[in-house]
Amino acid sequence: MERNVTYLLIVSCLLRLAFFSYGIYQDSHFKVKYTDIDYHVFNDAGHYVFNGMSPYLRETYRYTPLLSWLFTINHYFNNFHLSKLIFVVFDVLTGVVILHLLPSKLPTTKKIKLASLWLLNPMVITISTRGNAETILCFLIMLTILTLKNKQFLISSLLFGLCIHFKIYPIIYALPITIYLFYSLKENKYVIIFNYGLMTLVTIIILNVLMFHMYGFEFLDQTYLYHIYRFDHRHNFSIWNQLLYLDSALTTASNNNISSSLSKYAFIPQIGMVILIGLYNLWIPDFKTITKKRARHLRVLCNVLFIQTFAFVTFNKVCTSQYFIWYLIFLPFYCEGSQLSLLRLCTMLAIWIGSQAAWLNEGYKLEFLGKNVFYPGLFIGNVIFFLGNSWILGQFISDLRSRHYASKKAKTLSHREAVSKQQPHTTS
Amino acid sequence: MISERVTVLFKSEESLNECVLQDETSLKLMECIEPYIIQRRFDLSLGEDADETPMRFTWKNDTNSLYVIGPHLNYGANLYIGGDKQLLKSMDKQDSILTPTYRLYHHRDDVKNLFDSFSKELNLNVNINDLIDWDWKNKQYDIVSVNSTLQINEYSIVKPNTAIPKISKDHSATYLTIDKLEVGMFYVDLIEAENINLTGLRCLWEEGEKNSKIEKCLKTSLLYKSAFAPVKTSVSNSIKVSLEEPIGLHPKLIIDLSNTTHQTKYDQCEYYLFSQLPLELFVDKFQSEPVFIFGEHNLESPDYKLLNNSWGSETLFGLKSDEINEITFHSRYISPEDGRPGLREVSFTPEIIIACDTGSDSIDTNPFYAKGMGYESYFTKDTVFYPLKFESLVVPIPYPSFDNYKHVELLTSSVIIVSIIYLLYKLFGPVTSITKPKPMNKQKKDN
Repeated sequence: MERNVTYLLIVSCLLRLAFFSYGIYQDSHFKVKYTDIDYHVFNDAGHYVFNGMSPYLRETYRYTPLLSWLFTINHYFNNFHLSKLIFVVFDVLTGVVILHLLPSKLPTTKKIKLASLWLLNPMVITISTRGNAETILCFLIMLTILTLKNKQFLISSLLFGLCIHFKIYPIIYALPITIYLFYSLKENKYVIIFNYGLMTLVTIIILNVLMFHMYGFEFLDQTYLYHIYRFDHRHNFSIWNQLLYLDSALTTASNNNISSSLSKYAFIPQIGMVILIGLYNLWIPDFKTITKKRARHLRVLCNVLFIQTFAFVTFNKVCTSQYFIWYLIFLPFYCEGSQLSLLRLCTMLAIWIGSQAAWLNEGYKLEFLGKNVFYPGLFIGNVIFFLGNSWILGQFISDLRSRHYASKKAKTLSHREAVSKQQPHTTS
Repeated sequence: MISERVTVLFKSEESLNECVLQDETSLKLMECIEPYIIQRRFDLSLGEDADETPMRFTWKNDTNSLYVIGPHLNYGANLYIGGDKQLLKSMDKQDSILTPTYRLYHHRDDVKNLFDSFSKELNLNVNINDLIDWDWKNKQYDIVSVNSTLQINEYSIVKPNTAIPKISKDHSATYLTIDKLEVGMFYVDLIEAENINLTGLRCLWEEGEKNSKIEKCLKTSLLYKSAFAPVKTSVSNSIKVSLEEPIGLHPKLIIDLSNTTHQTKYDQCEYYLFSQLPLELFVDKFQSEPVFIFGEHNLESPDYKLLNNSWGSETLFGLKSDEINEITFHSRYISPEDGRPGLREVSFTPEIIIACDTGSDSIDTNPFYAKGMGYESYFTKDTVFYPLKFESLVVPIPYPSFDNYKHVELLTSSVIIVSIIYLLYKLFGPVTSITKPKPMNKQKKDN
């Protein structure tokens, strides 16, 4: 490992340790706590597990029991903050995997800059040191892709199954991964794809059967079924939020003048968009001709996963800040080939932050000042956030298509040039 | 068999001497300069086939203390069911919560429905409404049904210069015949913490007809322990209970005990906050760590999804003396309404108490009341309570309006359609030139 990369990792670790230590200080000295509220849920669930009970005895624990198992160390060593260090380790390891996934031909300086988008990202550092478990999933997803790159298909499929067991949403990556395998493999592609899918499925089934055996129906209900029957009435970034709130009350309110089922179909645009983007590498201009190298395939895959996740979060029925980390893991790969001008990048960043700020301003008035800003304030905040993120998503898509278009054009031109150079020689 | 006992508690000996007139058949309470408290108690025998489930119905709509002759009542209408805590047939399940010591039906304002259900459950052979002229606005009630006996206690605080009907068998408010009538008129001679010494008169009427005469009036002195010991006003005023402003969706209750001057002779005393919470408010037991929370403790659902579960919850918090305590509650999302968006004002009445272990068996009951089903049932029998402060607070909770529904629906669907069209265009439309292809030579170099 090059010295500068080592420095980057050391700085990353030190920064995280500083944030971690500050978190402990803030928790003990300030009314507003640094530690994520979900961390308390994990910790309580871990307490139950440590005492031989079900983690689902903790209300609102809606995760895989595996997570609560990790938290038993808090109780074994009697240290509330200990598990945060696990998240920090996974967080840094995600950065290491990102470094390995970046094209090896890239200059070290560029690699460091790109990996810094994750490793030195204050949002990422804050999320992991506050005790949010997303970094474990981020690491697993990155490792899935790394093993895919290294042709370790069995390990990759097992990891992918574990990812889906951890949280359902990575299932959307199945389509782009399948397409990636289809185009990047020369031999036995159908067998490998079938085996990959089978082993992923087997992993999910084994883990779920094991958890079901240990914790019963409560595991299925809280970890998976809840996401089907939940209704997200509490304010969040999602464009669907206000309609879901009103609709959820319609069934109990005696208001007969209104009837709507629009929010019941909220998943359709989301799934539709995610599938279309998942299929992206099927229809990009001359994909097969421009991407003969597997590295190119992998680059396309990471970019597809980036915009696919971005679309998933943007169209989701519920959206909070922690969801942003889902697509931030792919940001270094996207930026690696980005041809967006600095001005456009700054505009996108400003809109991303600005649209959040617009909503957060209204959310603050509602939550902390008790003001009735549901309509139009908060709702307009949702609209601004959604439109802003849709525009950003459009820019990402345009950029990707431009890159491939440019690549194709360059290839065609170089082919013509070669032909024209050959022609005088042949005619003579 | 119905017997009635009236207790009048004056503020001083002078008031007792000046405000009572006696004739052959009655006692007349004159207009008095100082306020005084009246407890009227009726004891009725329930039939042999009466349900023996212990029950208690209480009603309180203001914050006046019953001082030393009454127990501490929770705000609003409360119907406690002891024993096997069976559901009442006449009530819906959602009106009750279950605790380790009782099932509790509660309405903060609507006493009528709850009281009617309670009356029906009693299966009395007399009409309870003939017995008492119920005054829900000005009086407090504590009705206990236990061991086939019904004891109705009515408390009224008579304001200065207010005349009340004279007390006699003939002039009793009831249309029914009172078999026994007894009146005690007292003033507080001495208070030492929970030890109460009352001095005054005790009059007994002849048994039998409505126009029975007063048989005798005797000077009486009563020495007893009050389970709810009186607290000095200065102590009560030294405690500040308020909601931190501005009140958001996580109302924070500030209990300032830093200037508390209350002193007690007992070593084992603890400060507590007890409160009944309406459905719209809840405690996150994992975050706030109450001693207990019984009833609705769902951490996520809006109130309109829980209407079939219960009316709310009861919670008890331990407090630290000599410092400012903070307790965070949470507002549930409430149902949107027609008309303009607004704020639903939700009330609750936290009570600050000190509970001390006395080691005394005699604190459980006294001539005027016994500890019953209420927060006292969560403590040991020898506990004495000092109700330091109870204060009704209001939490405004915002709600959206159904009137905006169509706008929300239209705008939501519009922006989603616009977004989809825009993204489809970006995906399938012509490649736009937001990025410029690198010059070929440079690309070659890059490769």
